[in-house]
Amino acid sequence: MKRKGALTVVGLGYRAAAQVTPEVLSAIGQSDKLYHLVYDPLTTAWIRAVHPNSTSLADSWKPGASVAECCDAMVRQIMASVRAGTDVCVAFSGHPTICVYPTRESLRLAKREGFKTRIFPGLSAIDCLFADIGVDPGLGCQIWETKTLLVRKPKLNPKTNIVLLQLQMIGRTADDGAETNREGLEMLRSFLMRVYPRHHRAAIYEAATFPVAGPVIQWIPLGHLPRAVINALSTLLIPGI
Amino acid sequence: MTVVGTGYRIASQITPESLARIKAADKFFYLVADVVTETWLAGLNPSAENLTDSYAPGKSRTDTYNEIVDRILAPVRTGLHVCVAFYGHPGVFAHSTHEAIRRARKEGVPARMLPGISAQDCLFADLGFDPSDGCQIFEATGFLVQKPKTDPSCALILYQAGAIGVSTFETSALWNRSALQVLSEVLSKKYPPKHRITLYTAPHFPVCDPIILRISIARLPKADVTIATTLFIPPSKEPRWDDRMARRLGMS
Ligand SMILES: C[S@@+](CC[C@H](N)C(=O)[O-])C[C@H]1O[C@@H](n2cnc3c(N)ncnc32)[C@H](O)[C@@H]1O
Ligand SMILES: C[S@@+](CC[C@H](N)C(=O)[O-])C[C@H]1O[C@@H](n2cnc3c(N)ncnc32)[C@H](O)[C@@H]1O
Repeated sequence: MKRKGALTVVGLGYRAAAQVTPEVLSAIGQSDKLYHLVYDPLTTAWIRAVHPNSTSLADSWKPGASVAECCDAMVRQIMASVRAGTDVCVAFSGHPTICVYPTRESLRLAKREGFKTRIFPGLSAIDCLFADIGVDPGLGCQIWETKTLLVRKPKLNPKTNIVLLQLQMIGRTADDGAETNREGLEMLRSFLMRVYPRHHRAAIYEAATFPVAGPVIQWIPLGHLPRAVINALSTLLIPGI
Repeated sequence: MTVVGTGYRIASQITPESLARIKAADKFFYLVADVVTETWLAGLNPSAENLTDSYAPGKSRTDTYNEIVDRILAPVRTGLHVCVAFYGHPGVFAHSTHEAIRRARKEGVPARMLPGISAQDCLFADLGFDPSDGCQIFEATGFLVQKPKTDPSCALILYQAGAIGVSTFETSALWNRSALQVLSEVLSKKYPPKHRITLYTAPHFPVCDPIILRISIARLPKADVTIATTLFIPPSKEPRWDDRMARRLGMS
């Protein structure tokens, strides 16, 4: 028999409520407790309005603490509620199982401890990129978190599209709020220069986080990567050669 | 012109921004994979028109795609607000959508694509796989014909394994069984034949579970593959790990 307490993990997409699917909305509505981590104030305001008992996980970001410590604090908070027998829903921007450690770890623990778990997909930054830049992964596509790429050094196939997440986090263990990360981008550049010519153009992409706004797309030669202006929302698209 | 996606679970995976565009359109077209979704979409806008009749058994799919682009663009040219809905994400493995947008823009008409929940989004959720650990995505025919370099230490997703090498449209559930033999042989060169792969099908009915079959590569030729199957091939090798880089990046 399943234990009392359940964990449902949902994705909200990016444009505040404009990308929340009906199944996600009803999963949120059915839960007793909602935890959320979103990147913009409009979505936060919307969440407060749709759920009477919601808590932002952003309070787990402590100045000076490492990302890993902050994420562990989120997992502890989520799991404490599940273990207390609560029907918990956790909502993240984008797709809830793409590049999100707290949902992955909470789901693993909840399953191991015999709680009911469910996952409802959301629109990821990658989905928004496909639509906004007009990329079809049908011609081949590779997806990587940037640090993971640099450490694992896979055999990259430069003929396909490559999408890199978390550009700004290269070489960082804490989110110190600084805008651009030149040293990290320099490491990425030297890795990419093994397979791409310097002038090959790539897009630094930022999906709109407000319903009526458009995306920000900045095309640069890969050789200029260290000079690019990036932030926590930047995703890199390298089209195939 | 707006191109939108309806996701997989009927009426449950559409975004409010896409639904609003469908309802507000002067002319609404749709092309989806199941009858219940068709019925639901047909009721959303009185001008609704199904594009499936552009497909016919034996007719080349390239002809069909061109015909669909022409059908969509005709009312756009008369100044109407047109919305086109496809199942899944409209820009994922969909030939006519990006082309229709390019052509509309070339003719000076504002055109936009809104994303939808794709088969891979459902797969990431249902299999609990995080693509940011590294993921390679190909269309099965292209994978066999172009022989792209892939890395077995990184997960691989193959679309359209049920339609390998078929350039026409067919009505059967699996369009080419003999090609699965070829796919199995090609994969066996990169992976051990006993390597377990997953055949994934997302449900269209909100109450149904996904179909998740785990089989060995050697069993692929006889497996229950349909044109709605997406293949997930987990890594067979431990990924490399560059210790020095990990230290530089503060990861160890
Ligand atoms: C921790 S990951 C979360 C990804 C998210 N779960 C998803 O499915 O999109 C954060 C990364 O997502 C990408 N991202 C987040 N917001 C974005 C936006 N507005 N536009 C483009 N990429 C974004 C960036 O690569 C960022 O570093
Ligand atoms: C022409 S593509 C359309 C993909 C769609 N635009 C999307 O975003 O998912 C057809 C391929 O999508 C995948 N597909 C279609 N229906 C599916 C389902 N119910 N479950 C899993 N994959 C599916 C299969 O790989 C199939 O060969």
